[in-house]
Amino acid sequence: MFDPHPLIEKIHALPHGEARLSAVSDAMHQADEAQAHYWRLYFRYEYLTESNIYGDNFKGLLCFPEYLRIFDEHPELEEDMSHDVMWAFKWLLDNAADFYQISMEQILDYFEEFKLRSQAYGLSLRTYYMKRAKFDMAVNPDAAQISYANFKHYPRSRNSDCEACECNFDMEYYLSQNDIKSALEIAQPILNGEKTCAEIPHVTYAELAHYYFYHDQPTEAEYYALLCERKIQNRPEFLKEKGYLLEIYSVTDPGHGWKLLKYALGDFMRCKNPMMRMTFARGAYHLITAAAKSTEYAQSGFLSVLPVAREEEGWNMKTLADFFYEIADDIALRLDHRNQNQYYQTMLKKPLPDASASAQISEEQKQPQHGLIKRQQSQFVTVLPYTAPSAAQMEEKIRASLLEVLSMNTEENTCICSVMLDQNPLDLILVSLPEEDAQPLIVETANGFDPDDLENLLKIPYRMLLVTELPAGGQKSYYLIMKLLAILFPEMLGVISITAMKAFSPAWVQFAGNYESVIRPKDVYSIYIAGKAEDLHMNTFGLASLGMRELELSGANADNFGHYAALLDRTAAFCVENENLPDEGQIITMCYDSEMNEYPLKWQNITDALKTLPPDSTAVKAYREIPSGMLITEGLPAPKEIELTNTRREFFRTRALTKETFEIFQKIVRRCESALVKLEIELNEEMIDQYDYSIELLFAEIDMDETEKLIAVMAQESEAVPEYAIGDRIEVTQDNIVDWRIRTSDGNIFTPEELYLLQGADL
Amino acid sequence: MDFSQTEMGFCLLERGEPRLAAIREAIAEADQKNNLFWRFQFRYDYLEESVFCGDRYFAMIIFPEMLALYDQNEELRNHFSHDFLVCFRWIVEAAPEFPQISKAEIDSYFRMFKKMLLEQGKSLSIYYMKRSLFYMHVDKAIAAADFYRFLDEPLDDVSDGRALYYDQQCMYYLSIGEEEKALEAAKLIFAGKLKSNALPQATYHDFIRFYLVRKQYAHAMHYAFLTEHRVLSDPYYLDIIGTLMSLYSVTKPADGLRLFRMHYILYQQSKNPFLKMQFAIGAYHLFHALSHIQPPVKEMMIQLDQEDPIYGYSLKETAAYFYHEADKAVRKFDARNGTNDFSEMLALFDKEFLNRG
Repeated sequence: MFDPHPLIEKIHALPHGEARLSAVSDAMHQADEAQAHYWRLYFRYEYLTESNIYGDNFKGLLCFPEYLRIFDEHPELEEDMSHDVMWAFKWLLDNAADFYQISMEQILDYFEEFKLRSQAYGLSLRTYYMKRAKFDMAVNPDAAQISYANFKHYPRSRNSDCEACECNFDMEYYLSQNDIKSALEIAQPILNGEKTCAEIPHVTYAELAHYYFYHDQPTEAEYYALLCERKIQNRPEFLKEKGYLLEIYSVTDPGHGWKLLKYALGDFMRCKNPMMRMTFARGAYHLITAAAKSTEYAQSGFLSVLPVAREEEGWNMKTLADFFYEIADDIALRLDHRNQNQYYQTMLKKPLPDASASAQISEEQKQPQHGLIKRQQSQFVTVLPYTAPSAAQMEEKIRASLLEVLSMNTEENTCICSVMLDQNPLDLILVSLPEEDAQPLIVETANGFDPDDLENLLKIPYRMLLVTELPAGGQKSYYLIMKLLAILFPEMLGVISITAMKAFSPAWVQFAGNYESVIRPKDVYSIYIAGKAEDLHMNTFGLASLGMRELELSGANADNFGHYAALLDRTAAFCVENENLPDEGQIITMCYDSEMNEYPLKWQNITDALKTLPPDSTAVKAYREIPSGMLITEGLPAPKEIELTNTRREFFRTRALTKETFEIFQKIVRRCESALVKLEIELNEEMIDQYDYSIELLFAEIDMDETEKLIAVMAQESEAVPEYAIGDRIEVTQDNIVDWRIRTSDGNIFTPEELYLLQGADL
Repeated sequence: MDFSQTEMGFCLLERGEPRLAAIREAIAEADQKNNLFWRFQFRYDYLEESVFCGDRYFAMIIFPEMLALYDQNEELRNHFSHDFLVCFRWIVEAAPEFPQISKAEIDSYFRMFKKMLLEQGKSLSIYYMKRSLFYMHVDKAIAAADFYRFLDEPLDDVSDGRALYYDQQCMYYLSIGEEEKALEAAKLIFAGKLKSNALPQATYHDFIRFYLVRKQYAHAMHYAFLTEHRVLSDPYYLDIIGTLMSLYSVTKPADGLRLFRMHYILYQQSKNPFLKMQFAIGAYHLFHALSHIQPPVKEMMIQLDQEDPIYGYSLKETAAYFYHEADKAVRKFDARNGTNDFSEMLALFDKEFLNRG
């Protein structure tokens, strides 16, 4: 007897994409054989979903007519299945035009059929006109205007796209009308994060990037391209958007584009959606043409997936460019032939903007808006107790480690490779620095690294330089780098981040490479202060390696610089944690003055403050030169005396680390003089109602005489947890501990972040 | 008459039956005055009180009246569209607890609910969640299909909230034996970060049943310890009390007897067949175990009226009584659902008793 349950479980245990499509296809056939009509439709809908949302729609498109036929043959299932059918029909309308194999007549028939069925089910025609307008935008712009007006006329109904998708469509329509002002206004709920879905804001960023690129603003295009790229990495269903990005990077940063090409090329080879293929091929063509200006041959091994022969010197760039051009041209011709216009061929032949186009915009027009830039490469120096290994020795070392090697290339003292670490690809350049050229380094110690030890460290000339582009967010990236260095150089004497100008002790590197929550935002950047007592200038070092502009702060003086340094520090930490500059309206931090008045500090306050300053003032000029990278004190809402609130993120990070390292804590605590723990105690329901919070944090002192269990004596009384009074005993477990302080016999106090400093802590 | 004053007066009354009685009077008053708004509003109040402080029986009685009013009056549809969806949410969850409501009727409720959600542009998350819950004891394939759709749908203002979102995952994963996934889903609930009226006790209950069925009593007792004080003397949790009695019948029968003494009166008063069935199953397991304990337990230590059905019964006779009661209910539920899930629950310890014999 047919039992769909194990099939459903099997399908959902598989990753999205080919594997799942194949399992769903198998389930479809089993349901067909059993003539289980409900399940025949169910599995086909799953198939359409998988193909549409996680694939190239090709298989879904082939499956849809059969799906519709089975549905029509079984009116008894209409009530249960009509919603699914109409939803899948929308996907067909969204994607049919992507396939030149589907004739114009057939597409128009699909639209007509959808319209009739919508009316029969009492659905608003809003969705019909929305899809029609989208189709017409590339085929018949005049008709698109009428369809768009109809779309706005009809109300939303149960078959409408989500509000984020509709908002994005509105924006796309205004972009097609070259009305960027309206488009941006409409897109605000998406850009400030109010409206999102599985594809939004990804597609919104891509469309804005595309628009700006072909309107001679490649810098602005690149901003949106970078935002988009962070959303669509490893997502094959966004191949078209990746094509847009390649086109943009071909002008702004071909090297970065090459990396994107490397990771997306496999998806391109598997894709069967002509529109996606054409757009990606167009981008790849432009990128390779740009790269060909600096080199005639490419050596990258990833190109071997292409049906282009490698010559003795490598892959000929012109041959590669021609390969992609032919694909793009062939599909553009076919789509235009079907659509009876020249839209895609014109697009392919359109000249690209000049990289310097943005620079030609007048100063007044150059409105600083955004803080994202390309990630600058990061550099770490590992100091060793012996002569740094040669490139060949490094290769041996890497291959002997547990790292998965994706590619490897060694030359003299340089080893260039790609490895996988915790499922993150890392592109590394490892250089063995000559001892005789050891440069003096200016760095500060971090995380308890003894300054005397640092002084000694800097005298040692055995150094390996690691150059890499950080693969993820700041803290995650640093965790990966520390883990990598701890694996490759377990005997190291220290690590110096040239980017953040900080030195880390070997024990800390080991600790941070084991526990992700060890890394704090401040580990990723430094703050430097310079100038005269009455006019101090401060700036960060390190944010550029995360793809953000360094922050600068001017206008502080000797009396208040501590407060403003704290403000800069908090703002930089906010940027690192959010991997972005805050939006205009987003609160960066709360400030309090000496009378405990509260001030929310928003980026908007800073830009508003600038408006009150004369346009020729130094501050405004500086701001224009360094868009969104400057904090200026004049006019800020924060008074001179400020206090910044603690962030919840810090609490949760410490809590996570405390729990992760609880086993080590248990082992070492008895060897110490005394220890205070912070415990989270759950309130009972009555108290939750009364106090409106569910967890109370209480301090307790470890009973060192108790040897069997880890017992603490309550050191604090709470109204909300009447079960515990001062002196009560409680078992300390991984579940209830959130923080601790250990006092050693020499009087030093340690926190979870400093666990690595405790003698004998087996990390 | 100022109906809003009447409504405010409900707050001063004890929850449960006293408040329900007062609302019943208010409904009659509003009906008599033909005040459409208050006819509906009081019925909403009544349904809400029955769902949260009763045993949902009265909710099932009042809902068809609300549905008729809602269908017939456009002004109600304009004013109460969101509230009515919330009521519908409670009803599709409560309806399966009444075996007299057929599967076809429950399906039709679900269809109406889905249609209404779609018409108001709401997410189908709550629809898939409740339907998956119902079908867990009816058709595991549909339960699975709906569960995975539920995971894909976004939460919105009709959804049950994040706590119950994760609780549903626990329940589903446990139903297919995926203990690790269930523990992962329960993390935020167990850490006290997500709570609701019924959580964490309902989540603990999911785990107790899971371990109980697998005879992993130490694990089950861990969660029982966390659960018991949260569910005592609340008619809403008679099913959990039943499960605890089943567990204690093996681990600590004396505590099981304590629970029985505390809750037998609630069992008698309850009109919810599902809660009563779960309690009766637990009571049967408990008394069956007690009747086999050596040295024999002498008395139940419970004051009973002479008219009480178990007055003067021995432990063995009491076990037989609850078996009979549970069996009647189990047959009805299993017949409606087309499965034997509850029969299996009733027979959970049969082999052990035989072995002991």
